[in-house]
Amino acid sequence: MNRDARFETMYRKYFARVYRFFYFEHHITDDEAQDLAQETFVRVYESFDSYRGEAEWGFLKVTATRVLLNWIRKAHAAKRSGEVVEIDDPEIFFDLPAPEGPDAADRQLADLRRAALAEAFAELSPAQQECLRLSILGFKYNEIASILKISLDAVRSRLRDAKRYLRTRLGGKS
Amino acid sequence: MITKSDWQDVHDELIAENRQRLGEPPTDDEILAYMGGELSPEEEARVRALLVCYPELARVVAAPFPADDPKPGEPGYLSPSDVNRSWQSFRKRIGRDEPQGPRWLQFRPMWGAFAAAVLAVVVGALLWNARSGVRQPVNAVAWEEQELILGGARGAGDEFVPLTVRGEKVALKLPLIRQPEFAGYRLELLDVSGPEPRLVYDTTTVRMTEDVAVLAIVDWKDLTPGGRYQFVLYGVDGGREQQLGTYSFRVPAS
Repeated sequence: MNRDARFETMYRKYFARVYRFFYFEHHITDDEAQDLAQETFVRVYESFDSYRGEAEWGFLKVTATRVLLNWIRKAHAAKRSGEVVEIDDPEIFFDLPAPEGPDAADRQLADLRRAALAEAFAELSPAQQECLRLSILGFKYNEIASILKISLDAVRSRLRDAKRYLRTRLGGKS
Repeated sequence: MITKSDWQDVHDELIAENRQRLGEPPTDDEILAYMGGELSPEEEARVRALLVCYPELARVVAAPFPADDPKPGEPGYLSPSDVNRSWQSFRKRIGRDEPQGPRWLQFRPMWGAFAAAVLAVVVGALLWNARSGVRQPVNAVAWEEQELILGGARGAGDEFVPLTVRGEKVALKLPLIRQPEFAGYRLELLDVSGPEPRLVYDTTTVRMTEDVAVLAIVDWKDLTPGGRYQFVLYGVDGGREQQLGTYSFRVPAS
């Protein structure tokens, strides 16, 4: 089978899966996902001569990941800030006791709350902090496990311990 | 009460502080090496800490590559004809839309003149032959017809009906339950013998019979003995397509 025929076979075999990676796994719009999937194959096509036909799916995965990273870097270049998604976790929203002193202004109250939270947060272990921060960002347990390369049980126990500590430390009720 | 806004403020401060302390986001190579488990423990810890500060990059690590193709009806499913259209546009994109075949076969003006001369000789020979009244044998085309069963949700099922007709070409009648109301139709023939469907043909030249059925002509040479096939019929209206039915059949092994 010549080079072009080999490439066409690979394209037809894997295009749908690469498209799904962008469209479904990374929630990129249909048109853009098609474009990124094609961009992946353009890059594969350009370096196809050095490709030996082994582990073709692995080769495509690496190329698609590079295309995705490139797209993300471009998309986020202008808005590099922590993105906190909407979460609804009653365990980490709780009442704090009112600060001492009469009639503290709302802003001062908020500053105090944040300072107390930041201080308590800093007392968590680095591993607990990483888990909690990813959880605040909206990552699911299995995603946190993939990112941190730890087991699902480890994610659960770190989050449970971190939340328990924060509640005790800040004297709140959940 | 600790609010979302409190968490967001604390988190934003942490991100800003960590980014300043840890430096630039991880490179593509670092992320790929991290995913592949190819980093030293120190490097891995550094990249992990960076990923927490750059959640948009962490999402790449979190969302795995799909292990298989989506099935029809699942989000992100592409039919073989969608892939075919993509392949055609890909060829244009890489500038490979020129005629196929070995270079010596590609069109050149002198080849055109040569072809015209050969054509003139052949036509002359045919005319001479016709005048001489010699009868040429005509290839007989076997033409048999079989009605398939409408499958899918509205039909009788998805069993593979054995082909009982045989010939160089066979006509397969694909009945519809309701009177179709589409401007046009598209018919795909898929070879579903293997783990992944393969497109045998895809046509918009669909002939509707008077008794509300589509007549599909199939070349026997396109079918493999023992193979399993499926027609998928779509109604087309403007840019919209709707699947109207599937028709499954299998070819006898011998």
